[in-house]
Formats: sequence, C-alpha cells, structure tokens
Amino acid sequence: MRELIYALLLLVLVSAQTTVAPIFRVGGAELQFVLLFVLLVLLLEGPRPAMIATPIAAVSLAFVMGRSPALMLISFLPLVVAAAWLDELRLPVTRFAVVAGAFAGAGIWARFVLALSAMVQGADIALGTLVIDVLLAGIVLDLALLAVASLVVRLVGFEQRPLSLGAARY
Amino acid sequence: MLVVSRYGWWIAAMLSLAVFLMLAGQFGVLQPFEGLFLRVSTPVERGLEATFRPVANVLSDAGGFDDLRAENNRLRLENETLKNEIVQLEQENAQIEDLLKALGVSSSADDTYVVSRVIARDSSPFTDRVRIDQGTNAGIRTGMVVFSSGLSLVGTVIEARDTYAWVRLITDASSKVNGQIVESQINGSVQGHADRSLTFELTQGNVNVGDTIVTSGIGGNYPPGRTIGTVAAVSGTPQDISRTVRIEPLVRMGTLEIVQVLTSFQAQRLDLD
Repeated sequence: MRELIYALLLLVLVSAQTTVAPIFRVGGAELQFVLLFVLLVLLLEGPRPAMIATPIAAVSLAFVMGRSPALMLISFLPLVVAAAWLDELRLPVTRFAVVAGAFAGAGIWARFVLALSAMVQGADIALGTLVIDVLLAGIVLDLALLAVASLVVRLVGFEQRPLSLGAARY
Repeated sequence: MLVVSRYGWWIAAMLSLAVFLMLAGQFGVLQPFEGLFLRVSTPVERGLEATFRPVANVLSDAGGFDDLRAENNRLRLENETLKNEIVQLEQENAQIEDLLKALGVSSSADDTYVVSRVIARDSSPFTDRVRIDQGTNAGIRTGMVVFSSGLSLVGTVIEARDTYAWVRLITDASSKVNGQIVESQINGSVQGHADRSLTFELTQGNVNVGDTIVTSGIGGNYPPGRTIGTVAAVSGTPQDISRTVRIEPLVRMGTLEIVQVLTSFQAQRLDLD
C-alpha cells in the first residue's frame, strides 16, 4: 500500500515538474519536485528505500522531460550521500538544517549538470547567469519548497527516519 | 570517508546503471517504456496544466497592470490601423490573383498546419522546450517549424514520436534563427539566451526600437518573412562593432497553449541551428 502511495505521489510530482514548476520560476531556476520526492522518501522511509527511489524518480523525470535518463540519474545522485555525510558529521545544528544543506547541495549539482548539458549542446556559456540566475536562485527556491514540505510532514505527523545507513550494518 | 566507503557500492551501481541507460537510449530500447509512462502521465499533466493555467496567467501579468493598460490602448489603435490595411491588402491581393491568372502563373502552394496543444514544458536551466500533443501520426517530423495560433514563430520540432513531439522554443539558449529587420532589410541572427530573452545579432546597420524582425529564410531552416518579434531595446551606436538588440517576441512563450506545426515546409539543413 505504501509503495502504491509513493508511486502515485511520484506520478503527480513528475507531472507537476513539467506543468507547475515552470510557473513558479525565479530567474533561470525552477522548483525541483522530483528531487523533493527522493528527499521525502529518505526522510520518511530511510536511506535504503531512497536509494531505490533515486533511479526510479530520475528515469521517470527523464521520460516526461524528454531528456537522457543517464543524465538525470547522475544529476540526482548526490542527495542520499550528501544527507548521510552531513548527518554523520554531527554538526551542532538542527535536523532541518542538515536536510536543508543536503537538499540545497543536491539542487545545485542537479541544476549544474543540466546547465552543463545544455552548454555542451550549443547554449551560450554564461557563467554569471549560471551562478546568479540559476544556482543562487535555485537555492532560494529549494529552501522555500523544503520549508513547505517540512511543514506538511510535521502537520501530518509522519515519523521521520535516520538519514544515513547504520555504520554497524556495513 | 566512511560514508563514501559505505555508499561506494551504490554509487558504482548507479554509475553502471547510467552507462546502461545511455547505451539503451542510443539503441532506442527505452522508447516503449517512455511511451507507456507518458500514456499514464499525460492525463495527470493535462489536469495539472488546466488547474494551474489561471495562476500562470495571473503571474505573467502580475505587477504590470499599467503596462497592460498602455498595451491595450496601443493594441486598440493598432487593430484599427490593421483592419484598414487588411481591406487594402485584400483589394491588392485580388488584383494580383487576376494578374497571375492572366499571365498563367500559379501562386505558391498553400501552407498546411497541424494544430497542437502544449501539454508540458521543460524549463530546466538554459533550456526552454515544450511537448505538444501531436507527433508523427499527425505528420509531424523533426525539423518542422512551429508557429503560434497567430502565426508568429515559436520554435522548431527537435524530436517527434508517434503521439507527441518536443519543440525547442526560440527563447531556448541553444536556439539560433536567421532573421531580418523588415524596415531596413538588414540580416542577422536571432538568438535565445539563458534567461529566456531574445537578442538580434547584427554586424552593422541601423536598427530602431519598434522595428519588426522576421525570418530571413537564409540557411533554409525557416520559411522567409515569418514574424519573430519587435525590437524592444538597442544599445550602442551604428558605428559599434557589437550592439545588443533585445527583441520582444510577439507571443508570450510562458503561457503558450496552442501551436501550429507547418508540415508543408521541410527544413534544408537541420544542423544549422
């Protein structure tokens, strides 16, 4: 049953990426609903399901956006690892800050990979635009989206899981 | 480092999967899966698109009510002028038809279009593309030119499948269209940018705000004389080697709903832009 709910959620968020996200664009950046899906799986189900959800989400998004699935998968890779790394650093910050850091970092990487791909395919090499209009604007959008999603998760009262694989298990 | 060692197998597995997906994509193995997925997701996309379109329209107009009022007044005047011009052109057209008949010359073949609806948009960084709900089944092929419902240039079909096609908009950062200024007949190149703006690249010549830019037809990728937009701003003087000419497209690309694919025109060189 949970799998079915996540599948439906993925379908809606993937569809929202090509219909709703372009509306709420800031500069050259847009909301990343599908990356948020992977983060939600990580927060609510733990790292193992998130590791399975990552390629499924990436390939689904690639299908809907007509992009290379390999490129999408590479753009999605750092989220799970970044969350685990930040979590295990045991920084004196809240869990939300750790999650926000991982999500923002993964968002920067995802946008950078897609921008790089566009440049390789003939787009202008505009580093100023990339940094200011895409990457910095993207961080703002990601944090805003995460804040809304976190609020929903808290209000619904979902139990949150650890962000990294237990060291003892491996 | 512990994290890397613990997640190393997964990263390696994902990179291997990426290589596999890249190879599978090259040989078209993924196309049936893509088609199946889109069959499921398209109704959801249509639903979301219909729900959020009013929001998109409001946001695209937000903060510009004064501009809209001014634009409305300008358009009203323009409408009146154009109506008068239409009457005059219709009379001239009738005369031309008569003359062509008298000379035994047939006029150029009528253009044929496939009307299609925008169902999805890819606005990832440096990219501006839309997916339309007609594909090869409706006669759409890669390289065909796409217009708005009012026949202004919108973009080019870059990928066509059975029931859908991807269109690269002229505002995409990798789009280049050979254009011409109607008023001065100067040729140049209309280029999209990362911020989805449009500029007209020209070496030298006189260009003024309000001038109309059309396709020049040079290169054979676009039919000549199709409207792209108007000059919104010019920086520099005619003597400058490089001048920036910003173009305002006639169509609002962000709220594009209906497009027309010109199926009777075949691009000559697909690699030009």
